[in-house]
Amino acid sequence: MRKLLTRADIIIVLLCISLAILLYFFLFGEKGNKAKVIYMGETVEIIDLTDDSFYEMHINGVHIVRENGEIYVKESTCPDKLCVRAGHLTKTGQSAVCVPNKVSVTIEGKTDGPQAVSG
Amino acid sequence: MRDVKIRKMTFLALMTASAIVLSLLENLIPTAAFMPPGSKIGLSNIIVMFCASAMGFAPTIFVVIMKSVFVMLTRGLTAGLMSIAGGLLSALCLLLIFRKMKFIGSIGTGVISATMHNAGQLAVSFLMMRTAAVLGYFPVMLLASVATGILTGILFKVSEPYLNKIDNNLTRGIKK
Amino acid sequence: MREKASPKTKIRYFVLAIFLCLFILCSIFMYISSRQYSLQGFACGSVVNIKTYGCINDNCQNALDEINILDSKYLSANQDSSLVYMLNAKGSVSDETGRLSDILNEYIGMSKDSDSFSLMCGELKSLWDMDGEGYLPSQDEINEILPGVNDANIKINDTDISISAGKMDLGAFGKGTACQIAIESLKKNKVKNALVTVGGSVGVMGHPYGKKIFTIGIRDPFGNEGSYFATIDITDSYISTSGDYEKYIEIDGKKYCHIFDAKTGYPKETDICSVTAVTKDGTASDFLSTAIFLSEEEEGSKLADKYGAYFIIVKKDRTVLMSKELKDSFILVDDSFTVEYI
Repeated sequence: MRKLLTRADIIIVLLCISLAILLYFFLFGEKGNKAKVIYMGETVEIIDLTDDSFYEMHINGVHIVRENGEIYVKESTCPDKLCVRAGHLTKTGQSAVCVPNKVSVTIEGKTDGPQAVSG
Repeated sequence: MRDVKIRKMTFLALMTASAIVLSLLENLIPTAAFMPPGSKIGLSNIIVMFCASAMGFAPTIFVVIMKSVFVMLTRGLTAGLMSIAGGLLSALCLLLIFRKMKFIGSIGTGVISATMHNAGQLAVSFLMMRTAAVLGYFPVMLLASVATGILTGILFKVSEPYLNKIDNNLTRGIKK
Repeated sequence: MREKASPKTKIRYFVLAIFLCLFILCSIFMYISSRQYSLQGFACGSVVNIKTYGCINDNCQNALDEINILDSKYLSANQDSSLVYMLNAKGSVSDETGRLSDILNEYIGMSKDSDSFSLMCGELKSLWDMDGEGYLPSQDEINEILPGVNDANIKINDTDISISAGKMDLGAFGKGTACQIAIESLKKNKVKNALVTVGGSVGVMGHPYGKKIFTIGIRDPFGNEGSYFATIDITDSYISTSGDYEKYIEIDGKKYCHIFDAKTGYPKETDICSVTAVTKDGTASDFLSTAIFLSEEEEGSKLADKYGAYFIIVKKDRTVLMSKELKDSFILVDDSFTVEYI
């Protein structure tokens, strides 16, 4: 019978965790250039993050603010406020979701647009 | 001699059935939001781990393939392919660990097994969907694998003596 | 635990070895598919972009060189190293390679499909001062040069080319042909996936990394450069767009676009803002984007059918007319446009 926890086990676990952290930064390092606001599954608005000016919008009780090229949920009528706690979003893939109000804000980068524009 | 063979087959069948039942049970537990698509806690993996430690190469592979066939029949071709890729990769690593790497404990075994299983699944979904988005799941997958791997590792250590008892009783006719 | 016999252990090692090889092969495969090369240049009066995906070597420069050769040595009307420039300057030119004759024969063949189209609009361009401030010529001035605006003035005799009147301007074809020879050069270098843009013409082959197919944006004729109102998912094709927003002059508050009607000598007046042509031939895509712009709706549609091409026409009232075959790959991004399929 083998032991439950050996030195090797601890090394393995630590290795996996550090690899996860490394890969996270490697894959998600890009600063996104637009934020997509989705309400009830439909894209309601695309907010340009290359613009530093102040911009805000309200949708179904969720107050979204763009400031200094970052976007965040300032307030929400939901009970948990997980979307507010998601904080300032900057990187591609990051998102703030408000399930009760059915609103989500996701950062998208250049990789999501067309590869070229004709004309 | 024949008697033992039948007993061995019976035990194998028992193991296969248990693996399938466990994977069914797992599906009833809703996929948590933070985990990669289609990945589960891997309770059936405990069976595979036992097979790898006590029953050898062929029976282990048999259980894995049977489990994947079942998944393919119930959840579809894609799920089946992912299960076979992850399952085989994980099983081979398990066989290697149980034969050669005695210095790795149950928890480490569970973590490696879960990681390999999920990696195999991700690889298949990448090949099928060809979207780079799939690769973005790697970091989360690793963390989830560590968590589920620790869980299955502990569960394996706990259930190993009981499984051994059933195995001995069935295949060797040794009454304790 | 039971002890295994030696042959079984060998099989196990063998299987493990195979698995290891598979793993290594997969890693190599994934590495190669993620390789991307990109190169930017300037030719045919516009910005050129060449991108390759999934190729270990950088073949972009070769493709760019091919474009530069085509432009500076053959088709450009502005560079004095170009045969067309010399043809315009001296009235005749001799091309040993025969390449210009081949190209011109192809162009003339296409031009025949449209009455309003001609390779010889050079003098119209200068008369109206399209590259400068703009000038509104009198009917007499137009009548004077109109006979020169006719493909019949081009005489091709094997490798000798001469023009009896007018000036040649191949701007309506050049970018499309450039895209095509770039893609062909890349193909020769075993590149499987690439994207080439020359001004408003785009050529795509294969697929970009992480996607199954290319997504090409269709320029919003009412917006700035780079803005698009829709996208199409497409591959192994050429997409060219011509519009009145590209180059125009303004005289007394009225805008005149750079696309001339060879029959009248005047810039085409139409309710069309832009035409995008999608087809398997680069030159054809560029030609059609101009020819359809110059045609009426029925005519344009027939012309596209003849070349097996699909089109997207944007009109001044923000209505979009497009080939129904594009329906599945077309995604509208700006809903201030209304789309109609024919």
